[in-house]
Amino acid sequence: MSSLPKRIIKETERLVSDPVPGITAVPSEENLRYFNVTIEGPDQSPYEGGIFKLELYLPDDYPMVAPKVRFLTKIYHPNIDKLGRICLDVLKNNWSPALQIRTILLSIQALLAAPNPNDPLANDVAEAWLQHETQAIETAREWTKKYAVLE
Amino acid sequence: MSDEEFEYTDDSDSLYSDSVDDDNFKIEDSLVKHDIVQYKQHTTREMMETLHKKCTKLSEVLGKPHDYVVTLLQSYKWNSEKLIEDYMDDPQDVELRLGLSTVKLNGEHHENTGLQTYTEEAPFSCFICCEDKLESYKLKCGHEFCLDCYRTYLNEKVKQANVIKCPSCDVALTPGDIDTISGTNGSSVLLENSIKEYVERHKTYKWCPSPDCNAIVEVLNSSDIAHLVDTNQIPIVICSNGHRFCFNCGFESHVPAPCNVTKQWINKCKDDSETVKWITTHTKTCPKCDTSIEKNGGCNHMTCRKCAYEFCWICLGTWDNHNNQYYQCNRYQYEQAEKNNKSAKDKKLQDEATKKSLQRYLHYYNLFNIHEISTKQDKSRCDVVENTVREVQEGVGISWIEAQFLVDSASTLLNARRVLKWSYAVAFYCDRGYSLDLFETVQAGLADAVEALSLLFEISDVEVIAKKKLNFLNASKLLEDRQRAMVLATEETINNGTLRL
Repeated sequence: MSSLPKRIIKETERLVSDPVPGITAVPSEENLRYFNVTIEGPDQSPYEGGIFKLELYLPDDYPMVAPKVRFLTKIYHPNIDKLGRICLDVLKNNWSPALQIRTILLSIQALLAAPNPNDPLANDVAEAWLQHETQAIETAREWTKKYAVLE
Repeated sequence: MSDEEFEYTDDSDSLYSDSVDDDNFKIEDSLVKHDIVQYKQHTTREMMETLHKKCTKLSEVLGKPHDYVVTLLQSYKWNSEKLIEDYMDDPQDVELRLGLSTVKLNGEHHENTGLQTYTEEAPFSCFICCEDKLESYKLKCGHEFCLDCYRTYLNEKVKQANVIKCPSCDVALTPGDIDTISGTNGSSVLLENSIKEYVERHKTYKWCPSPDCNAIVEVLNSSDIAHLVDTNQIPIVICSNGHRFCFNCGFESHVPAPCNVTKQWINKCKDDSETVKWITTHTKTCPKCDTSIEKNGGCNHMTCRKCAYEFCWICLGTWDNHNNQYYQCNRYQYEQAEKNNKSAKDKKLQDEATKKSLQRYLHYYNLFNIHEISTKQDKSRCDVVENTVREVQEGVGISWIEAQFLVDSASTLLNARRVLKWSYAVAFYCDRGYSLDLFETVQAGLADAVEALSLLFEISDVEVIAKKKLNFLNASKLLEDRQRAMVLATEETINNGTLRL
């Protein structure tokens, strides 16, 4: 494997020395481009109290292309599908090399606080969200309790 | 052919008229009433100049630099009316929205200082790559990145034909910025990609659909096109590289088939439903693994190749039961048969009908396809016909003018075969009857003539070719006559109202 670019080393160091509140990102020992990530569900959201596991991978062209991020914990959210894939502009068209791992993870946390059913990835969830919001939020809360809260 | 071979001429000169001095074009031209469509041929280079002219004009109107206007128009997808409207309304708002105004970063006011150089002792630390670099670029927003990172960033972005913004904020890069950073004329690459957008957004423009051809055709009056299509005429245009195509469909010339026939035929050929129909009428699925199986002979004891399941072709039950009581499934089970009889009969009738209509379609499709493949071969022959001309010249010692009959014949063959090909699509949509009989007689005549000329081209001996010059000329003449007859017969069929879409 080619040596790790300085940019990745710097970002990793800063993630460890100055972590973002409510977010952890630890590089894998075998592959320093692969990160195990956890995000705490934001307060006052249906995901409150849950700890969500994600995986994050930095492709060869990073930072010219966006990192690949996926939820590993099951989650009921209109912008996250069954496979954990995330519909977020900064992961796609709006990626810029001036963004970082930490800014991306903060955006994901913000997405948990403010789901956007008008731009859905999981169509069934988005529909439920638009039609019976209270019930959808309740389901999201149940899923959080079931899958994201460690006993 | 590259764009450079075409000199930009004055508008009035490039206006296409009937004065094209190529005999081969005239035959079909007269048939499709070519003169009704008025159009101009463009190359991408000419388009670029058109866009630049547009920018220059607008820069005079707005009193802003040319570079600035290019960026404005790119943001507005070249809709200058909308841009002028918005700009006259509130120029500050437009500038702010597009990242063209002077902005403050952290309360500080910055200048676009452009290229910055540093020393080894005090290098620049780039925020993107985190390396120490000697060269950087700084926009008026104050964000600064090393030249290497900026270049990689631009290379990716110029492909998208959008205005390029600072990696950290919404400030737009002007063509000047882009050129300085990329060190080449990166902004013209961006502009070239904008042409694509421009052509696709304006209905009066169309790209030539031929592979590897980037010529553009502009019609002068788009309502002409609609009128032609409504009256079953075909708006054929010819691009500056000599490719003829239908402006309405954006597809190769499909004379004699009208646009609506063409559209339906293409959709039908694309549609998988025909394949599905065939599979349902000719195959059964393995009861275990659902693989489609076609029985092409042999006994009814089937063994699925895929999952090795043994079953009976007749009742689709497992073969095990058949061992003791042989062909139990063949015994007539009255009660059930009574129930099944009606639906089975219906299904059989339906299957038969499906099979018949499928066979009919396949018949025409095969003919169409054969000629499509042959057209490709004809095309490659047209590409090398100049070589043959030279060989004949050198081998037999006749003049270049005298050997031109080969070029003409090759072009005649190509056009006639295309007409023949599309006539099969027309035939598919024709009602059975006298009119179709007539149509198909003419079609057979055309097919014969096509084959006759095609056969002459099989000759490789240059002396024989030279000797058979008269045969070439006669075969071409016959082909042209029959092609004209084919087009007329199609018109008649359409006028008779026997076309069913």
